[in-house]
Amino acid sequence: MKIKVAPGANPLENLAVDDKLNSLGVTMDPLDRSVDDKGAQKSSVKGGIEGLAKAAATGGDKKVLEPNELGEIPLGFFAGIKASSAESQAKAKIEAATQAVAGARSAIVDFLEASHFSVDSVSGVFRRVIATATKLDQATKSGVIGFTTTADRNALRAELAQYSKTIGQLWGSFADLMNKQALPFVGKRAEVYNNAGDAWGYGFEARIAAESASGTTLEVLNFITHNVSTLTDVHKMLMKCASAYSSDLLAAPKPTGPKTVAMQDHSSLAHKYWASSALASAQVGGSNYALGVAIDNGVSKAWLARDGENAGVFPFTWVAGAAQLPSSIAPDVRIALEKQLEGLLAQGLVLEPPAGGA
Amino acid sequence: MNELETRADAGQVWLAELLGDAPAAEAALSAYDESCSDVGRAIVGGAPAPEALARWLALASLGSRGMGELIERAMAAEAAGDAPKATALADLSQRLQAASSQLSTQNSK
Repeated sequence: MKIKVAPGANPLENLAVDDKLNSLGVTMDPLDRSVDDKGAQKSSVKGGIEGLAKAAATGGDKKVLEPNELGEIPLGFFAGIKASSAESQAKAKIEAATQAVAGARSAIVDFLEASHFSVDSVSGVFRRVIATATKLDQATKSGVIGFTTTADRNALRAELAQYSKTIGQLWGSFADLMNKQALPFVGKRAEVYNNAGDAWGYGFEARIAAESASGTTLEVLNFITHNVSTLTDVHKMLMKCASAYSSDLLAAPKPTGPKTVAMQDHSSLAHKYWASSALASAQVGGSNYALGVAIDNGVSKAWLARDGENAGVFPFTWVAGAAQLPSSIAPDVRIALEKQLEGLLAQGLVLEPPAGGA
Repeated sequence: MNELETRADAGQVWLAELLGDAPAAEAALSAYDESCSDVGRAIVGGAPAPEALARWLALASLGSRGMGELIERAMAAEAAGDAPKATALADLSQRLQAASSQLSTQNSK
């Protein structure tokens, strides 16, 4: 079977189509923009060429994959990431999004600082920005926010904040370019110099002056103008994702004053052992889990019970406000319990030994 | 002061208002919301007028820069244990996103 891949409506959309297929590991014959069984065989598309045909069929013709059908391809953007558990999958997604954001910011900075600009360089920046917006969108929608630790999300938040500012500079530079075009002096190089003969403005403005004479500015303006719908889509996705990670701050546990947990004395001849009653609980896979903390001869530990039965005592550490339970506990159970413990830590958890036990 | 400096100043004022006291932030957000709505309507269709697109880009620039600043400050407030401030800033970012969405809803597929 052979599937034809329809090009985008414009060069930019065409790049986005190719990027999407590349990200899925699909090999397309560039001569006729087709994919055969072999080209889809090693991809991350579920069902290989049949999966692509299935996606294409949503538009009626299963032999031609249209750009608007890309979202129907079985398996997502992160399909290539192999994960041993839901937790590591979530971590991989958030790391991939963080790296994409950092990479795109670097590309924008390079573009803004380059000595020349052209349709190709603008197109390259757009391509990077689109790929990043897509990756961010996928990560946000796939539940990464709720399934990763605060530390993981903070890394992405910090990158997002910087990226958001940098992309603001990019839009601002294009706005300057547009304003120049809208004003009568566009293309008239002399008029962007001040009375002393120095270039008016600096950086991007100076380049506008330099490039105007060659007609490059008008080509770039034309490119931006004809890709306005892409700009609006990218901006919408970025703002939506950024606010989603920001609202995660709203959902974070809020300090409400220290919580004091009374420890019970379980001294025996062999041990000086204090333990709290359950601090966190979770219902996973039909079982009820409860977790508390313990101090065994001065060493912090955590105890876990499953359906009321002892399920183990583990080494336990508080690191930078995050509770870290051992990986031997099933991820779904562990993450649910860690989140609750993080909430207690945020409140300034105090473990109080039994009277006379200190 | 040239045109670019004037616009840069306006952006700084807008950011300061957005991040400042409540009444100024409300006024800045309200003005931004209205501008986004107007420009969103003006760029409907294939190739908008340069003036409209320039305005769109300037507003998108303000929104992106504002969002970055809000996230940074909310994180700093959270790290400092100032929960009410972190909450207020995060809430502001939600409203900024809602206002900014006016820039694209007109063009959404």
